[in-house]
Amino acid sequence: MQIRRCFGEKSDLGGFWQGRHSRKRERYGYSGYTAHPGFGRHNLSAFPSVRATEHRKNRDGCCLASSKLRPSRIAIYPVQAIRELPKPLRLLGILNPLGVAEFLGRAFMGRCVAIAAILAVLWGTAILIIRPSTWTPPVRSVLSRQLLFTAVDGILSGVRFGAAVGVVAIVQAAIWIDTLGVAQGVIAPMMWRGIVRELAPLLACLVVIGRSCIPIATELATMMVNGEVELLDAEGVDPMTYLIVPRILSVVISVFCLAIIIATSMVATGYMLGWAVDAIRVDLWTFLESIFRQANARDLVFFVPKTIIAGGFAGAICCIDGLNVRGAMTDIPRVASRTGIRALTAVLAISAILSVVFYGRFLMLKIV
Amino acid sequence: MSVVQSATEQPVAPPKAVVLELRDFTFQGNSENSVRFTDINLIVREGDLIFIQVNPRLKSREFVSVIQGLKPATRGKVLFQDCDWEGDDHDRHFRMRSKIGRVYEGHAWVANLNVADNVTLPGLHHGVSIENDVKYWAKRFGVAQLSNKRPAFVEPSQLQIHQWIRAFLGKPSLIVLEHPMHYASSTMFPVLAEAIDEVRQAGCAVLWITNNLGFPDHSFDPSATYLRAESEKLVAFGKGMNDE
Repeated sequence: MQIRRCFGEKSDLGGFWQGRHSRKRERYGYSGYTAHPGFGRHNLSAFPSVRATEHRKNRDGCCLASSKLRPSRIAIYPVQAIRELPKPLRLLGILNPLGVAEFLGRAFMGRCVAIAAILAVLWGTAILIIRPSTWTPPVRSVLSRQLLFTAVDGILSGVRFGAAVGVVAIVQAAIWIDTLGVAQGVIAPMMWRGIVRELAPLLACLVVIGRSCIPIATELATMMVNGEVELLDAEGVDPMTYLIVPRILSVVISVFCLAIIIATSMVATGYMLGWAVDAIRVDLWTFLESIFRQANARDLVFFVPKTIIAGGFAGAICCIDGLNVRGAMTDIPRVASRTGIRALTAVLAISAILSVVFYGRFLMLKIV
Repeated sequence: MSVVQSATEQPVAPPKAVVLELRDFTFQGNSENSVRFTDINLIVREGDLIFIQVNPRLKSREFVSVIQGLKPATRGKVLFQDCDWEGDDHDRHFRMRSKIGRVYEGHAWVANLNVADNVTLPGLHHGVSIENDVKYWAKRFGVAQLSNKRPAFVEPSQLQIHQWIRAFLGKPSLIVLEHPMHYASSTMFPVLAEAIDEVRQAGCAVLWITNNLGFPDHSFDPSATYLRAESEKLVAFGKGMNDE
């Protein structure tokens, strides 16, 4: 009987690991075996003769690197039956739609659980913030120190970021004005809309995530590994109140304040450079007036919740990731990198979703 | 007085309020070197001092965490002032824990706070006025001023004394001392023993976990109870020091 082997790293990943299996097959030379995902340890029990601990030869006589194999990830089944199926069904068998569906379902449920956890933490934080008994002297002290680190110390970084992006924005505006042949008067509204609606909140989030969220996750993970969180708990100090609330609140406040500073920095730098290269020919006050003329309540309504929600999500993600660490110190760098990516992804997703919701547009399509 | 399964003595004086009770308590621990107990009963009343001698290779930290409701017991109940640690009423649990002073075995400090902040953190968080208390206990334990350095830069012996101060702050109902003489000079033992006598007079119960009872002489007043963790049981034994 011919057999196939499955070397899936994770059997639930379905067809997505086909390429990887193929590469392994090439590397280890077990060409007589076809990788097939979706077969886990339950399949192995039906074929007790297969032992991963032994070196076995495939039908071409190549010795399998059995140390690379783990029993739970090996499965065999008759090839002949599948070969007799019509080609479309065979393709389905290889792609393993059930495995793909399982993978997608798991991924979706995983995201739902993660979002529920974030919302739960944010809800708990909101409840604790409005409770006067939360604001004990140590909690106020943590909040002030965190604000100093996240917001105040981040101002220079924010100004630098804003200045650099302001230059980019004005250069792009000048290029598009030349290309499209439109009047210079469109620069101010373009900058206003681009900066206030999108760029400034996003840049503020980037600054805060890079400067503070990753250190927060690292700090909390270190505390967790060292048993300091348990220590606080043992002293009757609620870790949620003492560790989480001030950090999330400081991240939210910092994102909001830094977004304003970054927007100001971008506009100022944009004007200076535009004026220097003759892309903007009006005086500063006229330029500012034309910018503020573009402002409407909707933009402000958009700006405030966008910075608050994005900041809240970034703060909650770094706290959750930090406190979810299990194991040793060596896990902490992994937590830090994962937190950065997760927070960035969340901020970008929130930015996109809020833009669609507030302005009712998705790409070129207007949403009714 | 304490009631242990193998203890035969019964209290003569009218019983004081129970501070801590382990009822049919079993704890198997999460690590191999954790101290374990099977079906033990222990009652700690106001003013009691109970020594529990454990094997030197076993760690007591997890066991004390169970007493504080940080970890669940394998079986049985842990009652602190007649309240258990079950349920989701976390505020009540935090309030209960604020009445327990503890000297920790192992890591005992928040690394990014200085030692003084570490010592005063619980009291300030619970809104207890501790300024005078801090001065009093610091003076009692021979510390001129609480250290403003971070724990990593303070000598272990000084850190241990600061742990004592933290445990005695805020008029706790129960003080759990895990190896309090670890790193500390033996000359400090009488100071600690007198402090324990003082808080016991005020109604505080003290649970002293150690693996070595070879301390200098001191007559505890009232006398202490000596227990040994043996074969996952608590066994009362005779005079470990000179007060029985």
